[in-house]
Amino acid sequence: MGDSMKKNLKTILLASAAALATGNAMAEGVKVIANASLGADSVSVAEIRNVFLEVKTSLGGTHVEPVLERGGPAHETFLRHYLGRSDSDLQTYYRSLVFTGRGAMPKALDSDAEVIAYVARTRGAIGYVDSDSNAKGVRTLAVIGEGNVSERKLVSRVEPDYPEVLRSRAIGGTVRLRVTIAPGGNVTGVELLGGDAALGEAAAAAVAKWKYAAAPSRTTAEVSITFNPNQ
Amino acid sequence: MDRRVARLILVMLFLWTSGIMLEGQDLKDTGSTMDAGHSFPPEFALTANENQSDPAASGDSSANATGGGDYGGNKHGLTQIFRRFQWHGTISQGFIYGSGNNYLSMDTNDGSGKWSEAAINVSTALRDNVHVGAQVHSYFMGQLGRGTAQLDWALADYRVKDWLGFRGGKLKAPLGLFGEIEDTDTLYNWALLPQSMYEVEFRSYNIPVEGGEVYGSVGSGRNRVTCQLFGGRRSVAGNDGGPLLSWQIFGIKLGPMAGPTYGGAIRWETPIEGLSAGVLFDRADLFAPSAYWPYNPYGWPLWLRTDSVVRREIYSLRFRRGKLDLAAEGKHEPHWVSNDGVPILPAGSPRNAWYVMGAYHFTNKLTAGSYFSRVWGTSFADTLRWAYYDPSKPEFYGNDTVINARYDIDRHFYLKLEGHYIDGDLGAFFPATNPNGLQKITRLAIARFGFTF
Repeated sequence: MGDSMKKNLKTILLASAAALATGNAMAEGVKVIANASLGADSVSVAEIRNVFLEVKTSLGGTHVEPVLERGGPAHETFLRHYLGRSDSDLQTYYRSLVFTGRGAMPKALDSDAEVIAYVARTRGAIGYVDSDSNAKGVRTLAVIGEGNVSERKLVSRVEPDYPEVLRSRAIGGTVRLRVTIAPGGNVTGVELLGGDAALGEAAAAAVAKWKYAAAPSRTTAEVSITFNPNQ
Repeated sequence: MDRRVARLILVMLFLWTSGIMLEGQDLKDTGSTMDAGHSFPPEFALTANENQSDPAASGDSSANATGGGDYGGNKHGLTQIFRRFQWHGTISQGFIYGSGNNYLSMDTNDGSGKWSEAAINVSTALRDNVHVGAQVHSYFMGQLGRGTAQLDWALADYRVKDWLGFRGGKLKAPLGLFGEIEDTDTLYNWALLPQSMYEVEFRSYNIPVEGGEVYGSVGSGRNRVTCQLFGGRRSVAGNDGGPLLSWQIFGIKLGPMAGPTYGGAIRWETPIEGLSAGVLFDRADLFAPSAYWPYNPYGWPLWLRTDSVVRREIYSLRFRRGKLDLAAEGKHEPHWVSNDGVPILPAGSPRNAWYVMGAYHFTNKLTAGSYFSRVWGTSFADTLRWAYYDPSKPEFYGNDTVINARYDIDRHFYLKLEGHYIDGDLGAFFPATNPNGLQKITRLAIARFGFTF
């Protein structure tokens, strides 16, 4: 094995070890949907919590209005994973806003179909439905996780090539990428969040070939890859 | 039940049933599959703008529900007007039976049901970030409240950013964990909140402020700090407990009592899931320019010009995780009273209080809990007692040990049962209903039943 190959192998191993998928996607069984007018493709768990507790009233510059389901598995899952409240707690919370003049009672509907239809036709509406629901006419938001949602498993990855011209000039560092993953597991988008542009391009080319486990909806993940010219 | 409370309840029932009827209209008109029997019957909110994302599809490019434009083409008259508003209301009825002292100006030793409350509110969004609303509240509690329908709050709320907003009008001022909701029974588990902190006989002073408020927050998720700063005017209503106590204890008719107030509250949602901490400071300078003292030691009627300065500091902790709900608060409330600028007492007489409480949600319907609440000193209404303050005497302290259960029959109806063992005086053992003087121990059994929509 030549020196060059050894160096490449080391780089690949280091890069692999440094590839971190932080936070991820959605709670199992539920997906977050929004009206097409919403100026965002993804939303964090904290943003979801704040929107549904009426602490936050806009996303991506668009005014948002939460839409609830009145019960059912998606409702229970959503409350448990994203709001950390029981249904009765949540009703009391909304009523405390209503009876003090500090907020309004959100729209509450009976079924996934009603929520989808309402969200589709209502500017700024954001809701949640069962992950198997046919969410036509609405935008399914990728949920950037925050610890209490399960991570999406990386099942196959391609290691990045360290451009020789950069290595020879001792140009290295860490690049951060935001990866959009289709429900089937293929990477459909890579966005450079930070780091050297040329290294980012090399990393993005590799990450675009990664394969994740299937999930009910599109998700995003943040990935960091380190290039070390001395190894 | 007082006639005025009954009248308010009738109005609420009318609105609630109107809501159902209007919903039926909505269902027919829009093809919505909304259930007329759902939890929030009058879903009249215009906070989200249907069809606005696709004006072409709606056939009305000028549709602008939140802006007060021609919502849906204004095709359905009253229905469409009503759809611009959210209506909500609550009513409750209480029963108290006890021994020892009669409580809250009721004949509780014989059992009393003279405890009815009702509130109704209406609100709407003028724009995405501008809301207006108002609530009328009426209560009847022994000799307090007298069923008078009073404006509880009426405000305009302008949220400039998610982290900054303004409110103006008649507001509910922050006061610890429960101050803003203490007159809305449905919003807490207890039949009576800890009376060391949330005295029902001083509601008109404790809750509303006519003025303005700046509110904001920094951080997000589980590490967030919210802040409220308010200023304006507080007043003591004539049907409140303060004037009644002043008359029954000292023979002084206070008359109108009001003055400037200001304060601020900070609440921190800590990174520890479910744990929050808060602190509040406020001050009010209450002026009673025409207090009348007809029978006094001087032998002739006196007109008084009474100034009261009341300051409060409240420190709060709450831990809510899963089915467990724990809270503790402490209050320090010094006050100074003077007549025509001459201090009645040489120093501010303080009233201090604290409580600890815990509740557990056994099921979605059943919650049970307990609290211990302690208060000592004198309130501003009976500050003259401070001249002979003796902490060992029951009129200067009150210890209240409470057990409670709440059962939510459904999303609208609930029932509360509560037992109190009171050692000392919580401040609401009115002399007129306790002509034989103060008893050291009071036992109370309370039931409250309510309905909310």
